[in-house]
This record gives sequence, structure tokens and C-alpha cells, in this order.
Amino acid sequence: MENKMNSTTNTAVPKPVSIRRRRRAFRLSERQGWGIGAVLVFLAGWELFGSSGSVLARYISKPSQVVQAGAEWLSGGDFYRHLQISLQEIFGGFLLAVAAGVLGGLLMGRSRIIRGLFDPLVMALYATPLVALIPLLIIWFGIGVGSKIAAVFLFAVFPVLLNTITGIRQVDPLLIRAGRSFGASEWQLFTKILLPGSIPAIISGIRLGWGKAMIGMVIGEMYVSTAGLGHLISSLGNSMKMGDLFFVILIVAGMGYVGSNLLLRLEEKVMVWREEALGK
Amino acid sequence: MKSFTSWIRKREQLLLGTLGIILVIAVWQLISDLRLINPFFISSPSQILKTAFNQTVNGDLLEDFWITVVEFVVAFALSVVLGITIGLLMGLFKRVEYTIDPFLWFLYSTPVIALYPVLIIWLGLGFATVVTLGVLFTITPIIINTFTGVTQTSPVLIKAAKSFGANRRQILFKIALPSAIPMIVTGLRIGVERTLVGVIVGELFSANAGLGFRISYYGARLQVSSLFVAIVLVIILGLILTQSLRLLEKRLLKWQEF
Repeated sequence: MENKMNSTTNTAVPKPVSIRRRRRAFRLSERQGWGIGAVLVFLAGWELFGSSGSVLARYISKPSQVVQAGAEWLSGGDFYRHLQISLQEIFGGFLLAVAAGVLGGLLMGRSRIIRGLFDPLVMALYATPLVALIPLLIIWFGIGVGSKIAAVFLFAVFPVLLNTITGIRQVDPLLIRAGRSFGASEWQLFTKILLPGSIPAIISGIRLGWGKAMIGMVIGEMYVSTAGLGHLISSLGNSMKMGDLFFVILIVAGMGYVGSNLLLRLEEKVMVWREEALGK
Repeated sequence: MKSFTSWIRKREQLLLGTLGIILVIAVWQLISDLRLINPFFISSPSQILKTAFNQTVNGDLLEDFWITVVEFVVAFALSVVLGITIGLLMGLFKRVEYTIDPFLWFLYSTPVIALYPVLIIWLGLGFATVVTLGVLFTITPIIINTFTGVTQTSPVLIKAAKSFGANRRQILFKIALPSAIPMIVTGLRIGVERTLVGVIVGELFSANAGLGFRISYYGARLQVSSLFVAIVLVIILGLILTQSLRLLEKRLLKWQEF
């Protein structure tokens, strides 16, 4: 924020910003007031309905029960085993997807022929609800970690791939020609011009991919698995332990939220850096 | 000769794309025929075609296809009506926006599918659960886009209408809604993809009919050819839906330019 101001106005004005920030911390804005109020009312209503003893209420648990279940899970070692397996799957699949997506994107963005050959296939798979392929992945890679890594990969690879292609094609052709004229090899073109030029697009692809990777992991594990957060969700759901179920759902939602927020920060930073680099 | 090369130039992408698809199908068939990979796992294009033909003659493939289409249409229609209404209310009344905002964020970042055990208890196995999952998947982008579209209405237009004595209802239907239409249509395009995902996931987990159920059923029985038939149908359905919405979007955006 401050960086942006400095770069656009030249005169640094850090003081007013910090004062405004401090004030905001003490007083709730109207937005925050209504938002927090609505959430509190919702939680209170849920708690009341959950304690009312009606038949339907038994199946939705209540906030206090969710908190209690959460404390129990967090103190036991079992939860961390499941978390670890899910993290393994998601990071394994995600790293593979980023590597393959960027590499494939470079090739498809650079070569008209490769792009032409694979474009319809990529578009068809991109428009497909990939969940339909999960049973096939289970047959191919088994019910363990392998099929989940494959699912995460499949879900995450397309946003990275498509954004890389767009990024590469948006690189200023003058820069490429200049590089060529000065005798850059194809490898140098890739590493010195094409990759840096398309980094912002690639990072937003990676951010979109993270959200999809989470979905791939959860659905893959929920479908068939022996461990992991998705496995917990389906087994807790099937045994009607709603308090515990909501706790695990919250954890998964949190993971998605934190991951995409971190990547969004990174994206903003890169954009600022790039604007500055281009401005100077 | 020159005209021939320019003819190829013009259609290069189309030709290459077709070649790419043919290549993949040919390699797949070859791998299967030469048993480089056991055909039990990957089936083969010819086998899939044969299976598709048999199942179409039986009629049960079309029946499941039809069920998925109906569930999709109902879920999408519900999402559109609910999503646009909520989005409009949020755009028109600040307090509605503030109240709904946190829930929207939660719905956006939660893996909705994890709620399916609750939905099955409340709504039973099948149609209602699948449609609800479809709506939960779809409604967020439609709400957000409608809301953004309405709030981006040019204040000058509203002021002008007010000075000519327009009432709230006229402002809503004659100005806010029409100027939000391009955003809403983009929301619908994103929504279509998500509805299909929601319906297929719903069928995969909690249904006894439909393409998603077929995929799950044949997957569990290791009948890879039948599995592929259902997957290919899902791919075709996805392509038809996204392409038609894309066309609609293009048309409406063109209209906006004038």
C-alpha cells in the first residue's frame, strides 16, 4: 500500500496512513458491525436450534459442540496424521502441476504448432467437470496417496497452463526481437525474457490452481481413501458425527483461504515490483 | 499453389487441432491394440464406441443423460433466480450487503461437497440433494457478479433518471438491471461450469441415477469402457454448455458497445 503510494505520487506520506490505520483498529466500521452482528446472530440461532432437541437439529450439531470437537481433535495425534497425509498429497500434486503447467505453457505459448495441436484437447478438459475422472484415477493409481496426487495435479494444472500461455503471448514482441538481434539463444530467451515477462500471469494461475488443488484433494479423498482430511469428512459424515465433521470442514476451508490469500499477497507484490521495474 | 498455402494458413489452428485429436485417438488405439498397457485399464476408442452404441440402443444411457440434464437445468434455474435476487438486494441496500458478505465468503472458500452427508439426511438420496449441491456450487459467482454489476451502474445515469422523476422501481428495472447485464451474463457463464461440476459431484456421491452415478457405478466395477462412455458424455455436455454461454456473452457484450 505504502509502496504504491510512493511510486505514484513521489512525495512520501507515511504519517496519515498510519494514523488512519490506528483509528480503524479501534472503531468498527458499519460494514464490520453488521457483518460481525450477522455472524453472531447466526451462531446464536444455530446454538439454540441445535439445543432444541428436534429431530432435524440432532443432525446439524451446534457451535459449542463444534468447538469441543475441535479441541479434542487438536489435542489428539490422529488428526495430525490425517493432516500430514493431505498436505503431502496437495503439495506433491501441486508442485507437479506448477512444473508441468509452466513448462507446457512455455511450449504452447511459444510454438504455434504445439499450441494448435493441443489447444482443443486442453480446452475440452478445461471445460470438463474433472471430478468425473476421479473414479478412473482410482482405477489407475490405486486408493492410496498416488490417485490423490494425480487428482490434485489434474485439477491444478489447467489454470497454471492457460495463464502461462496467456502470459507468454502477452510478452512484448519487441523485447523478444531485441533479444534475438543480440544473439540470445532460445534458452536465454526463455529464462531472461519470456519467463520474467509472464510471471504475474503465471502467479495468478498458480493462485487459481491452489483453490482447485484443494477441491481435487478433498473430493479425491472423500471418494475413496484410507486417510486424509477428505477421508475424515466422509467417514465422520457417514457416522453422523456432525460436530467433528464441521470442525474438519472448517480446517479445510481455512487451508484454502490461507493459501489463496498468501498467493494473492505474492501476486500483488510482484505486480508492484513489475510496475516499478517498468516505470524506471 | 499460393492460394493453397494461404488456405492452410487461415485454417491452421483448426487443422492442427483436428490433427491433435486424431493423433491422440490413434495412439490410444495403438497402445491398446499392441497391449503396451493392459487394455483392461485404458480400454480403447473402438471399444468405447461399441459400448456407447450398445448402451444407447438399450436406452439406459440416454435415460441417465436425461436425468443429469434435468437436474442441471433445475439447479441452474434456481441459482439464477436466487443469485440475481440476492445480488440485486445486496447492490441496492448497503445493510443487506454487510449482513450477507461474511456468509458469502464462507460459502466461497468451503468445500461445499463436504456437506453432502447433512444434505442426504435432510433431503434424501437423489434429486433434491443433487440439485441443492448444484445450487450451492453455482450461486456464489452469480451473486457476486450481479452485485458488482449493480454497484458499477454509472451514478450519472441514476442522477439523470432521478431528476426526470423516476421512482425506485423504475431506476431498478430501467437502469440498474440493464447496465448490470454484461456482468450478470459473465456470472452465468462461470455459473454454468460450476453447476455441472456440482451436479456431477452430487451424483457421484449421493445419487442412484444420472451420469455421475454411472461413472461411480462403473468405476467401482472396473468396467473401464462403460466408464469412459459416461466421461465422454460429460465432456460433451460441458463443451456444449460452456460454448453456448460464451456465444451468448459475446453477443451481449457486442450489444453493450453500441
